[in-house]
Amino acid sequence: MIIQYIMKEGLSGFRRTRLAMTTSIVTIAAALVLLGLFAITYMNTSRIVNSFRDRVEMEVFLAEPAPDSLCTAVDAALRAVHGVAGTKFVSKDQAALIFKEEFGEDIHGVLDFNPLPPSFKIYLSAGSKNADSAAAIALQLKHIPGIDDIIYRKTLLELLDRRSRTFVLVSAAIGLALCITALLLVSNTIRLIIYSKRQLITTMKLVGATRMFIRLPFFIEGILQGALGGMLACLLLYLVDTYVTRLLGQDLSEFLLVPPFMYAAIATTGIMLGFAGSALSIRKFITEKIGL
Amino acid sequence: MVQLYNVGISFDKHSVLEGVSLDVAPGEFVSIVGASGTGKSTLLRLLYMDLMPGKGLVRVGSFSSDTIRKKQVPLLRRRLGIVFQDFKLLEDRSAFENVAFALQVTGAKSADITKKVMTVMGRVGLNHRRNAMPHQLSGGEQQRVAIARALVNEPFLLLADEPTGNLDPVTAHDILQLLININTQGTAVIMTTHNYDLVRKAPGRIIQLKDRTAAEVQLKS
Repeated sequence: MIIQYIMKEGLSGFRRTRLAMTTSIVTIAAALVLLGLFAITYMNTSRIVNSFRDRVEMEVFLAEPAPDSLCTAVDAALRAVHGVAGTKFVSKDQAALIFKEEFGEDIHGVLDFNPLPPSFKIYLSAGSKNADSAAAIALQLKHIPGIDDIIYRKTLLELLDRRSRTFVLVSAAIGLALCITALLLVSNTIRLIIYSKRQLITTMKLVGATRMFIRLPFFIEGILQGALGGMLACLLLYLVDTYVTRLLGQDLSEFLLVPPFMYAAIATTGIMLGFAGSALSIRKFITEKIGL
Repeated sequence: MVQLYNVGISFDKHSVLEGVSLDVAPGEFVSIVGASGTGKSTLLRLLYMDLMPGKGLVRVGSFSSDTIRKKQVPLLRRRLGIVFQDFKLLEDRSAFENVAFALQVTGAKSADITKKVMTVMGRVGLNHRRNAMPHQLSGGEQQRVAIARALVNEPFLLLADEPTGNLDPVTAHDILQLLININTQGTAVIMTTHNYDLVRKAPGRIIQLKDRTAAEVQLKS
């Protein structure tokens, strides 16, 4: 009986404060759509930035002469460095072939000897593909005997780091602002509902309703608002995704990936916003004004 | 059953009651009289523990103001019936639903609710009006619904705060008679009023609140 009553009361706000409830659901949906678009933009931009980072290689050139024993020792020393995920040895002959592929000329046709030193390509681990880690790794590599020179695209990594940091900060600030807006809207709607039910609350108090019994319907209303806002946002995002994918065509649409968990995350965020918004109102209004 | 020991309470440093002591026995009818602002409603609020005394002690049944915890207050109120001058009925519910509401909040079963509500509506003589909405009822009928709501949990004590304040003299007399009937069936009643004519017709002791204190008085007939 209690659960039936609480559910009935929880749903009654949709009837009593229809306009406020609808406004709140639509606004939550709008905020979540914006939040979702930001998340999608952030994820896809991060993916593109990471694909740039993946292309960043570090190369170490060995001092000549470099006998096999030295190459083996250097390889072992490189692999022992923290942040190095793997290595690939490039011999003098392989370097000459690469030169030919890249410049179209055979080095032996230009010079009497092969001046290209043997080298190692170094693959960095996922957490080390940033300017600071790469610089720290390069510093360690310098001390390995037999290494003559180390090169990597330091400037590109620094640029990526700087832009990523700014992008994360701006995205977080906008996301936070959107969440706060949605939270305040839910809170305000619940406050209106509480106000419209103040007589009911007073009567409940007088006939011995427990605090939880009085509060639970408002939590349910908040959660429902959030859930409906979340579902509406998911639907809108799905439509936007479908439309944009069709607009971009198959090749370009690869740059816009909306993972399925994004929809679940948006719906969950809606529910959490609804819960937090009602909790805020209940604490502010029922506890402080009505004295429960 | 009800005991107030040297109770004092202030609002914003303005003292409303000072050194008030009162004992009410089970099944007793006590009228509390006094002009507006003398603390009659405050005294009742202390009894249903909507307010806690600044000084002294209030005991109602097994609940005491010095030991009761916030979450126990609803349990006390389920053992009391409370009636107000302005009825405090829910406008969007019928008379039946208003009375049933007091049982719903306690988690009673639907079948029990119907049976108990019908019984108590009969006790206040309103079974034929059970489906009417509050605005379709007269003042006297609304107060009867409020009394039915107060009685439906079978309280040991009925608190009536100016129950006839909004009613004409004839209806006020009917309501008083209803309260007396309830009292004769074993429920203690504490009624506040500023209507001395009404009090003269009520049984039991009369306590007068004046100058922040309480004293038992005899009214001239």
